Amino acid sequence: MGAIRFITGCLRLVLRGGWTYRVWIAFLLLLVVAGVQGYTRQVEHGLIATNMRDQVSWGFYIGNFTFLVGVAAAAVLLVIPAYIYHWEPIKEVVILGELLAVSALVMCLLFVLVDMGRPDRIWAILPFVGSLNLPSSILAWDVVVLNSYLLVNTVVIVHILYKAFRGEPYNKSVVVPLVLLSVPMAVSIHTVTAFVYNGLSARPFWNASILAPRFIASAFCSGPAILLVLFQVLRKTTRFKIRDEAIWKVAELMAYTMFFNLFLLAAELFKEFYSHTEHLVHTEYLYLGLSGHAPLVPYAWAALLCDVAAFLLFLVPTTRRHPFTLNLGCFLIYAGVYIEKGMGLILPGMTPDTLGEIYEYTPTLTEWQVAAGIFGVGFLVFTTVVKVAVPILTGEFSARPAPSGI
Amino acid sequence: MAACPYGARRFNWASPGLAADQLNPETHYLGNRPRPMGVVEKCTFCIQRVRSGLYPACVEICPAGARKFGNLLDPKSEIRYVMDHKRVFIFKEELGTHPRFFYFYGT
Repeated sequence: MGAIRFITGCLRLVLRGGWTYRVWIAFLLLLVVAGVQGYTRQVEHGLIATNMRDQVSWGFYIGNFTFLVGVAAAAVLLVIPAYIYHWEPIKEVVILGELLAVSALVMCLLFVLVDMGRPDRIWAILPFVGSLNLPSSILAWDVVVLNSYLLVNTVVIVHILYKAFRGEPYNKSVVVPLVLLSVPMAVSIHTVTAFVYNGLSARPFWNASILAPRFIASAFCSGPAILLVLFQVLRKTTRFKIRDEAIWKVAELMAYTMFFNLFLLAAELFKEFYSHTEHLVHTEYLYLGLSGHAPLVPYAWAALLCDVAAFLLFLVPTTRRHPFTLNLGCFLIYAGVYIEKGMGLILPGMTPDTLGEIYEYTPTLTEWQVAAGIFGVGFLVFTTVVKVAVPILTGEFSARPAPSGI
Repeated sequence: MAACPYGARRFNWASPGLAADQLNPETHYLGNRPRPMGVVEKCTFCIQRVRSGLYPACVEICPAGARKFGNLLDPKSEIRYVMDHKRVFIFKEELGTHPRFFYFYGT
């Protein structure tokens, strides 16, 4: 009985809303329609509809996937201080971090799916029907950790929301172990994803031990950047209370992780340029351009500039606390890490290819459409779940009658 | 694809459009058929070259002569000599796929 009321109540919440909500949902649905149209074209003609070729066989899709794995992993940055150090101001916003993780994971899995030449063969990795080829396949490990992380976060979110809806305290013996488990899992999803690149001995740009730590460091900046903006939106539009201290604390943690990210980048650049081996070509292609081929150079420098500027903004307490510079910093971090851990990671690894050929890759309209569609799906998931979660957490949507005074 | 250090793997980005005369029809049913769209293409051992008496391109171009190609049933062939006189092994033989692709030690 309670479960049915919960589900119908959720549906009612999702379908109703002010005109800004409706416009936003309509916009997202439009993106999804564009994505479906692009993907239909891709299925019909094959991956030739993209600009990926034998030389650059990973492109826009895998770049977005890598970035979003980082976003998904970043929920842990909020979970650690909340549950391990019992830092209360953050504790109430942790669930939003987990919601973001789930939406990002949905996008991750979709990006991998659209990058497959034969998505129908997915049955070959299903347990019992096919084989995952564990433990030797790193891709199989990635499938395992991403799906387990999705499952753990979904269980935690649904449990907490349903219990809050019933007005009961959540089951600590279930939630706390799962939340603590999600901490190493968040690290593992990004580490294993880094290992997918790291393990390719024929690709020197990725074959660096520092790659996994760099992934983690940049992820811990980009994920919270999205959350900080969201916190401010929620604070304005709903009764959900998020204290300034929580926002400032997250921004401070981001300053430290961004420093670590820049330090690791500097360490890698030193090693590459000082030793000056043949393998430098990939870094040169990214930052300097190779014999006139320099499509990535402006982006690479822009990313570096964004990262440094955001680091300075978040390091100084006054700019960290001022709403304008705080949001500017979030935007800079998002842009910087999106370039750095997206196309700025994938393309130089593949260019020049193993035989030295330079193929300049730019996404086609189909790729843009499909990517926009996937982001549309991700934001739809996120928006609708937040739309349900916030009234539950504030007590407006509950199995019990609303307490007087609200 | 991404792991191959030699750029040898080729992907069927679109439906393969090979001309009919580029294929050898005198093989068993699954022999030398182009793979469908969306998968990595298999090596045909340059069937078009082999049919006109040439070696596959990778064998001909190898500067060290590391690759050998020929008829295993021909007792006078170079490949038969390698099979009989060198230490030969099959990669991942335990999977039981019986490939006709052998690795041998040059010494």
